[in-house]
Amino acid sequence: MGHNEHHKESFITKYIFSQDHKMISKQFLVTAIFMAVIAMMMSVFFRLQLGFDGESFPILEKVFGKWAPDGVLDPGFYLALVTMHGTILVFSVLTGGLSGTFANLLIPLQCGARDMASGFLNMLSYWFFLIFNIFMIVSIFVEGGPASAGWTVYPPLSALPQAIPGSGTGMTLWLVGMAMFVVSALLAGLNYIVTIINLRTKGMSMSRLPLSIWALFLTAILGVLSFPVLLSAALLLIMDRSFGTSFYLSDIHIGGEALLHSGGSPVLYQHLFWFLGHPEVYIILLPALGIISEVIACNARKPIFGYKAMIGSMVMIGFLSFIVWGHHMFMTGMNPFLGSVFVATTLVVAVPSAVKVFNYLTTLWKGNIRFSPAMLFAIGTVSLFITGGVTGIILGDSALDINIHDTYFVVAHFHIVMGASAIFGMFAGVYHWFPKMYGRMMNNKLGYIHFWVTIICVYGVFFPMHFQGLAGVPRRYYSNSFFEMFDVFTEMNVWITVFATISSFVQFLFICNFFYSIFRGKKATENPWEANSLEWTTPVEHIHGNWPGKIPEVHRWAYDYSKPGKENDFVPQNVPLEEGERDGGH
Amino acid sequence: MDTLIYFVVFLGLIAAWQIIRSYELSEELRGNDREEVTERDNRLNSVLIFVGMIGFMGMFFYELATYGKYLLPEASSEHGPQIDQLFNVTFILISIVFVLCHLVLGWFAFKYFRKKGYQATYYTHNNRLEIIWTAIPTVVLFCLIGYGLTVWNDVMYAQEEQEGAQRIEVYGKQFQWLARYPGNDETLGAASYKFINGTNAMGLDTNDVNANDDIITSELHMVVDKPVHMTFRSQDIIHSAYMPHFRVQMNCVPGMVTQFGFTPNKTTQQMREEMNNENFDYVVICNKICGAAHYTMKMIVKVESQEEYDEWLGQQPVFYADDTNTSKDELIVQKGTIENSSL
Repeated sequence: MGHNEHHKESFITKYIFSQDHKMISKQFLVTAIFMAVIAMMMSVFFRLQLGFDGESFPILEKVFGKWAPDGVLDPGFYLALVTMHGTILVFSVLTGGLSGTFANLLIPLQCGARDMASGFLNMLSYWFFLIFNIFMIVSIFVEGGPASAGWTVYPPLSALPQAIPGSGTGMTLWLVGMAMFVVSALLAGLNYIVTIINLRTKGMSMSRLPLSIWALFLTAILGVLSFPVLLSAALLLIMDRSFGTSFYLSDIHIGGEALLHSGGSPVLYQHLFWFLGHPEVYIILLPALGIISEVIACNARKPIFGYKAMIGSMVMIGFLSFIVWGHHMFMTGMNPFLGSVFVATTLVVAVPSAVKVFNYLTTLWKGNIRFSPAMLFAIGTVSLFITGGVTGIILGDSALDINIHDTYFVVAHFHIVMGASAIFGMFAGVYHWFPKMYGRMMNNKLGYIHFWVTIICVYGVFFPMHFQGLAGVPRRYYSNSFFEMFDVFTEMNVWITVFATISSFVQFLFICNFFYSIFRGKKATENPWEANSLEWTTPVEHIHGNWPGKIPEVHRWAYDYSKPGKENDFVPQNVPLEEGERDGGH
Repeated sequence: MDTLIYFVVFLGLIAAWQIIRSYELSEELRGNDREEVTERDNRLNSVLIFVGMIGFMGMFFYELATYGKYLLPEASSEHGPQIDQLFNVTFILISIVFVLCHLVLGWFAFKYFRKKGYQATYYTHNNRLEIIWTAIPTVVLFCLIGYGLTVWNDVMYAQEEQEGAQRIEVYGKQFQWLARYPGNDETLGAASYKFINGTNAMGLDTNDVNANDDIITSELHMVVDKPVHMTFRSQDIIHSAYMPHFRVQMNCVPGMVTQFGFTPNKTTQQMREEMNNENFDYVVICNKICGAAHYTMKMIVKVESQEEYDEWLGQQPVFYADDTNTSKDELIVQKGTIENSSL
């Protein structure tokens, strides 16, 4: 059966159980937006408590009922909100949402394939992802509340319902849901890898692939190698919780009784978790960097500077990400010598990261920059990547980590470098590829307002947190009132809450723009940004199989912008080389 | 009431939709293409980015000046200044990189916005440039790694060289800290979670002679300028004993004994005078999420002279004093006054 045959589809096979990568990509995106709104509102609610300690907000009681008696959050439920905020954003939005949306959209289109290698597995990966999200939402409503042990769910806290109510049914749902997520990530990742390796069109050598595909390729490899370890960590925790084993538990006296568990180690869980957890950071970040590579080159009307160095640094980052996990655990009492090794590997990550930043900056140099909303978000990503990246050099240094481990400095660091930076990359991608996804344009003016308010708020929220951390304020505190030394930050906390609230309202502007444009936006042309890569050679109307006729052949790399001696300032990849012309990437 | 709120929200959404729609229609009538990135947009945004970058750098220095004074006071331990100096060196380095990169980013965005008839420079790579900016960070980072690890080894292996260090055990449980002193024999007795009960908060082994003269307290006292070899245990969940003023932190992990060696070198009184705050006290903060009341878990720390310390320790009840005729049970009951509280 030829893929390019255009056959009639019912509503269900087209919109719900779709095996078409473009539809699956949209499904991932809309699911991620829905989950992001939930997680964002959670952050506003717990920020209310942090900014206005102990003050009553009737809306909290309205939303959370018994978890916010008299409009003040319950301390245990505060932790539940923090946990679910982290889990949803890290997994639903920035892993599933970001990779799922853009890998599905871009891999077949930019490689020149009719669809993913296996449309069926691709569909399954979305449905497992959806099950994970449903589990997360359901867990909010069960007895005892959702998981409350922090998004890293360290045992014994996560293993013992006596320790915190969220470690009851909520935690079980969290763990089973996470197993579903791992299945989704593996099905998706294998599919991405196979498609990129096998289904590139004629002429599309690996060294002609756009950087977005390289980023997604490496991301998929990281995911396939590290997610199984998370699965085993979760399974062992399920065993400890429900079947009385002692992988992570030992020597515990809680709730007035000594537990029977003996011989396990909570530190083992941390090793297993962070063996995924650190690559996970790059699973989130690399797709964002890949997206902005495309957006920056296209809108600066310049080839990306140092294409091969960019690939090399991504490979380097990906490799190093597997041998740095211990930097999350310097204070667990692990052997200081082992700590030293992790310090060295961690700080070395700064080298390829610096190379990437310098290359982005040089790409802008002597460009002809078109400030579309996507470009603004891409520049925002670079800025956030710099700001959040440099503080990693402090955190990765074990001697300095002694005093800022688990403080607000960490919160500031990771929210900027992998939270905001990746979200900005995702926004850049949505604004840039919206015409390809929905065949219509988004409103630019609203995009500008969205960008400017968001970036100001992001820095308004997270920049001051560095200072709190350096003053020793621990993260995951319901209130700082028990320590007089933190009173100086009362006013700062109010400001942070104000910025967080404004920024969350502005996201609704984006959502309005997004859904409005799907139905009423101006019809897009085939190649609205005058870009080079293959996805812009497909018709605006989506068809199964992507190209109506033959798949175009590729003759050059994706970055022939402003090439001297050309009529236009862009030369699409399917335009043959002229006689004597050299392919730019070589 | 609720219905009314939902109704208002619903109306608001419709209103927003209509406002966008009418705005778009009016733009269309005026002949502006709202999806097109106009020349005005390019100029405006490039200026905004430039101004924004300057503003951002301004904010950085402003916050440094305003909030800088809220940071922790000078370290109160012997190893502390080493860590602080490493921090300062690293901080200055990254601040330079941070400011320079942002200025360059802002400047390029400002200078190279899209102009009609201008063509961008086709510039694909420059091996020399790339080798230079790979090599420089590599060298700088290797220096930082070397410096960092020197400090790390000095701090973490300190306890092995300290002879005659005071042994103290810090014990975490939901949601309270306890400290244990070894007593005259200078040896902490054996303990196990199995022995914990209402009168034996830390589960000391009553059959172990070394445990008999152990002293359990709910405040942590240390002698100024005397090395401390601190061990950490937990009763239930992972806690983290964080003493920011001493630049000390270590997790308390159930089933494991962890350790940290350091020397406090400023008394509480000295700090009170320095900070001009009569109420200042050093604290142990719990810095690993451990349950609903995690944020309340604190222990007061006092650093004082040997005499004050001896006097204080002398007043604390001994776990099981076998040189008196008091029965073992009575003494354990006496110990029970250290309440096994939970929130």
